Amino acid sequence: MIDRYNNLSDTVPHEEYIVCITESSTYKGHKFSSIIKEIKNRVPGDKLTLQEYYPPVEKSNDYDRLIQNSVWILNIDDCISSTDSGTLFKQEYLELQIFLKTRRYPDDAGVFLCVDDVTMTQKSKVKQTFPELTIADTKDMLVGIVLGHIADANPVSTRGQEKILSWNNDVCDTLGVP
Amino acid sequence: MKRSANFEPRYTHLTQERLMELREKLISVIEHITFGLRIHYLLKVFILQFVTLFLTFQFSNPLTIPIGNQTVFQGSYLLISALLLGVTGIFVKDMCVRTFNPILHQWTNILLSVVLYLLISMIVVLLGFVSLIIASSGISGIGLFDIISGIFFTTVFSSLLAVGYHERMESINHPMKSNIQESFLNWQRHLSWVEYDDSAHEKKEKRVEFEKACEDLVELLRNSNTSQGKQLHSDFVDWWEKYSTHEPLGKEIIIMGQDKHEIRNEEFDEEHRSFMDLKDRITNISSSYDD
Repeated sequence: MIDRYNNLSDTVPHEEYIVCITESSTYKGHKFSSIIKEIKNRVPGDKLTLQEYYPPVEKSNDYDRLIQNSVWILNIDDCISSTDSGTLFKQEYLELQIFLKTRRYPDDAGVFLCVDDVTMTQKSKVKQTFPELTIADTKDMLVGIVLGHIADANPVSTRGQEKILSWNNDVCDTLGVP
Repeated sequence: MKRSANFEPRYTHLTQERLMELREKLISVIEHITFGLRIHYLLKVFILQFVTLFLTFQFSNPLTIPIGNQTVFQGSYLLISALLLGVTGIFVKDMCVRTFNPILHQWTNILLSVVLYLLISMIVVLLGFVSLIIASSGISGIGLFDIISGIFFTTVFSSLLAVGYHERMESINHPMKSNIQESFLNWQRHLSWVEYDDSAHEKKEKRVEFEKACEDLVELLRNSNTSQGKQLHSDFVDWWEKYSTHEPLGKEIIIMGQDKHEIRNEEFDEEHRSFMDLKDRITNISSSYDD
């Protein structure tokens, strides 16, 4: 559910959503909730708020819902197939793999992968499959890349407002919101 | 010495808790009569009724007027008393169901309210009428006529008090039961916006309708007078103000609740809990009209 923005003032204040696709509650020994809290606390200004949520596996393929989040964090350890089944992602995440591979997310969305305990071979496979996506190896890197993305989409600046408006209406176009 | 020092705060705490409980019970009893309106009117009527009775009998000579046909007189008084009791019942019931306190909508509590109205009037009659007879003629001086007159005065005073409080409720434009029922049902009906698909065109329209229903409910609850009603208003406004700060996606999560997962957004969880609590309270009031 998203509303179309008609002008830049509609983007102020703004709440952005971070969808965390993870089955485990921790990353590199840190709770996901505390990592997100750190990101929230470091957002400059008072015009942008962040809210995260954690869909269950069965909802990780809900494309209409996924594209309404300006930040996607994917815990690759949970998605990646441990068997040599021929697909990179597990069966339940195959649709998600297709979304990412075919770049079906909005241009201004930030899609970030994080790896915790995967093998070097698996990591290089991920890099090969999604060459345009950033992979975080550490908690600090994850915090840094998300903050970097948000810094560009913060309604404190006109440029940020334009980016939010563009992303928002791009999503509306995809969903067919009038 | 140390032990007693440790016991003292606990004892004080218990006493305070007990006092709070007693205070809440007292407020609940008073609200069965005032429905959250000011108690001053009750006290004013109580004092005036007492004074009226006292003066009536103090200056009437003789105290009993000779009546030819006692049966007709007594029958008429009893009939009028029954009618006045009906008036009290009708007005009290209407005031009970117009509050935002579902407890007051229950039949047992409506009856309790009527009984309290009669009890207050009975106190006036006992102090101003019966005590005067006892003082002048002793306890044996109370006859059937006095009992019937006592019943008559009791119902007169109780209906006066009920009509008076009802008039006060009308004067502040307190919403009618039908308005309350309609607003609550309307709010509950419009909650269905979350069930539409994200790509459905009517979803936004339905959400806007729900938000209009929320605004209407805030206005309606502003009329709360009882402690429960005021609490509902305050809690609803708090929730509504927070809900309004979210984008549509967040609003939907607050209404629907988060999916089952080991980790959750605590803020969303808290707002969802508040929403569910309000929904239960509103449903409770709404369904009390169906009984």
